[in-house]
Amino acid sequence: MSWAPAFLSNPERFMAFSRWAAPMFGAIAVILGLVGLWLGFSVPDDYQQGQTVRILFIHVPAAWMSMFAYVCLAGASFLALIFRHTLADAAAQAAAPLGAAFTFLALVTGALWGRPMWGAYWVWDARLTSVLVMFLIYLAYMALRASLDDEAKAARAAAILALVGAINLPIVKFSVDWWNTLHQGASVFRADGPTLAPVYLWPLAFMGLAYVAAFGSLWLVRIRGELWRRRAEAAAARAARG
Amino acid sequence: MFDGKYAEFIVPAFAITAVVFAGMVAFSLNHARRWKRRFEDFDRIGPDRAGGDRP
Repeated sequence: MSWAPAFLSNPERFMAFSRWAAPMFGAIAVILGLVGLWLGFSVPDDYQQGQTVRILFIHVPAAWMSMFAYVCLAGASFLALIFRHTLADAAAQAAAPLGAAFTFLALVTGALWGRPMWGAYWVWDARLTSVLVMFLIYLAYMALRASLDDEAKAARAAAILALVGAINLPIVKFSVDWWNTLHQGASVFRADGPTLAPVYLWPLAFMGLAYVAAFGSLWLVRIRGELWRRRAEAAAARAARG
Repeated sequence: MFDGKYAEFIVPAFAITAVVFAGMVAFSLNHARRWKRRFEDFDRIGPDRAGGDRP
């Protein structure tokens, strides 16, 4: 892992890398997403869920990405807090709105699946509630950063919040095992292999990879924007000092 | 194949997803382009004509 701090300490190297990587990930996301959508609308109806099984092809990847984005946020916050790398802090700041958006999608698409299947848009079970808490932590992170004028203090406070909030990650993941929930247990990432029928696994895999590529592309673009903002503000500060 | 059953749940789910993705793309690109332009303006013509220190 010694390469990671070296890479993160060099914004120029990151800018050169992200210049071609961001559009490449974006193109991969579009291609995988189109294939995933086509497969998703071609599969037969599920014997229990009927046609609503198609919602899972956008709900499950959004739920995965909500957690993955938080892992990125917490990891970058840790590096920013310990090594004080500008790029790590920019990466954390850039991950938060994307994570919030994916969590919002997971909650909304889950509600739209839950109404016909469970008879309710929302239930206060452990999985849904812990994901809602994660959404609120994302919002709190962004609000905290925006509320402090001193950027260094804001970064430090937000990083601590992100790391404390990471306690919620295993709760989200294992809530369906630790408590008796209406939300079903894991059906893809299981020690004994997926329990999902292959006909549904393929569209889900394509959509999952499309979401990962989309997040990668957008994260890189947002980090680039954040670095440009810091450069512009540094230039403004230099100009103000004369 | 999808034949429209449960469309009142399926269509909004996909529509909201499309809107949120479009928003993420638009906001991310706008944010990056705006600050890059701002920085380049500072570099080229100086802070006064670039419009101050914040957009």
